[in-house]
Amino acid sequence: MKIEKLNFAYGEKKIFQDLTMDMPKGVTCIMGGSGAGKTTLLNCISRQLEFEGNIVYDVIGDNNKNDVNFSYVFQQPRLIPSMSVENNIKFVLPRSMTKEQVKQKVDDIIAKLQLEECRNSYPRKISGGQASRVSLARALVTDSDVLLLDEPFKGLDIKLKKDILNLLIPLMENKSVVFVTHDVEEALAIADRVFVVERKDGETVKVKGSLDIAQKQNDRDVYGEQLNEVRKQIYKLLS
Amino acid sequence: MKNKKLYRILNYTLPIVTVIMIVVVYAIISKVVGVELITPSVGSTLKEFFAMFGKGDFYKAVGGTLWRAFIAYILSFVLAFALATLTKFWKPLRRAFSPIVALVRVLPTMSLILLALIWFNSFQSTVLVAFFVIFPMLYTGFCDAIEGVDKDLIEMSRVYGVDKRRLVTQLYIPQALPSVFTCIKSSVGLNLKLVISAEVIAQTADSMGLYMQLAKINLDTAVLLAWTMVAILLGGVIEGIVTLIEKRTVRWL
Repeated sequence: MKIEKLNFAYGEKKIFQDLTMDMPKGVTCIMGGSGAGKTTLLNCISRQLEFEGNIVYDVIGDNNKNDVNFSYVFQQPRLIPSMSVENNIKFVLPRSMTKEQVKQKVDDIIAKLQLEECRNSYPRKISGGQASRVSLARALVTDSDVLLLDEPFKGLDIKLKKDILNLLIPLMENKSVVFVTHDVEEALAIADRVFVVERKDGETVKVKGSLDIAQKQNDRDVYGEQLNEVRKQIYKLLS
Repeated sequence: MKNKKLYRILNYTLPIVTVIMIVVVYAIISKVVGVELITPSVGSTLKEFFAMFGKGDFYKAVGGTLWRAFIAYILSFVLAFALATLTKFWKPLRRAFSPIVALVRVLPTMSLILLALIWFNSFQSTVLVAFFVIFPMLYTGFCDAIEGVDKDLIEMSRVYGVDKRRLVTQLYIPQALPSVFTCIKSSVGLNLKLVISAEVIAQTADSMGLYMQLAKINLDTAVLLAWTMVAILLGGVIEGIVTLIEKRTVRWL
């Protein structure tokens, strides 16, 4: 996926000016301080915001909004309160799927994300961690081309986060994934390329630096020497 | 635990205590005034109230009034709902429609009743009077309910490419339901009141309003109060039914 000369402003407030980013197929991680424009970038990629410039998606077709299927894990789970967990997941599946296909897909993702316990509960009755997992399940149940994750592990304990990360890796194959996080360890675990962005007062968003992680996610030793070096560089860029 | 039990007991008993207090206050006023024609005693009012249930005309009148109230409400509800949905997805229609709604909202009820009586028969005029008051109320309420649907959820649905039919049936309608029920609860009672008021003036056959008017002409205050009690009871039952439906429908809150 390529972002070419992206320009966007909230009214008079310019956020992006000729921003260009080259994101390889796989997981691109965007890091940066609060208010650095990370979520705004995801909203531009998902075409929720109107912008100037070009975003070239890694899909077959005319590359317009209708040809690209997006999944988005928002900072807040954004679950529909009147629907059970199961129906929240079903909600995003296309009508063209048969009942059996829907059931199989939903059963599968519910089992993978350990949501059996709250399957029939309304969102009001589930914990914050469960809500985050439902939001992830909803994003992963669709065959989307672009998966956008905005701090998806917020509120999850370390063990659950690790389990879900392990689960996510095979599910993210063949997708363009843009992952926003503040957590360096999360980035080291799943990113193929890490962008560090910054936005100083009154200025537009700038890419401070980018780093590639060549190792396959499954073979990574996050505390190994190679990744330690990347970790140091990320911290350096972030500080 | 004890507090919870006490709270539950108070929840049920306090409204009954309030009703008893109103009756006691009225009984005192009745005793002080001492004129049966103006403030009949609680006993004679209750006697008239229970006597009404034995008369065939009573059921005809109640049935007639409820039928007119039902027609007026269904008409207002369906039109308000359809229009609120249409104007949500087609904004120019809302702007075109806003002066009509504003005009209908400020129309004095009395002139509405009198004009309706000149132009239509008594059945049509009672229905129309209630419709012209209830429809703008429901329309505005439904518009607000639809507007009040969480924007984040709409945004989420758009990102996932959820089709319009599913968006309306599975997101907009259920999310708007709590506000829609609030709207219904505040208007069903008023609808009944309006129909009865219009019946009083139109002297509609087989109606509660007609019997109230007759009681007034005959200075039969006890009968008038008995009919008033029937109207209050009917209003209460209707609101109770709506609350029950709401509890069954809006289960996620």
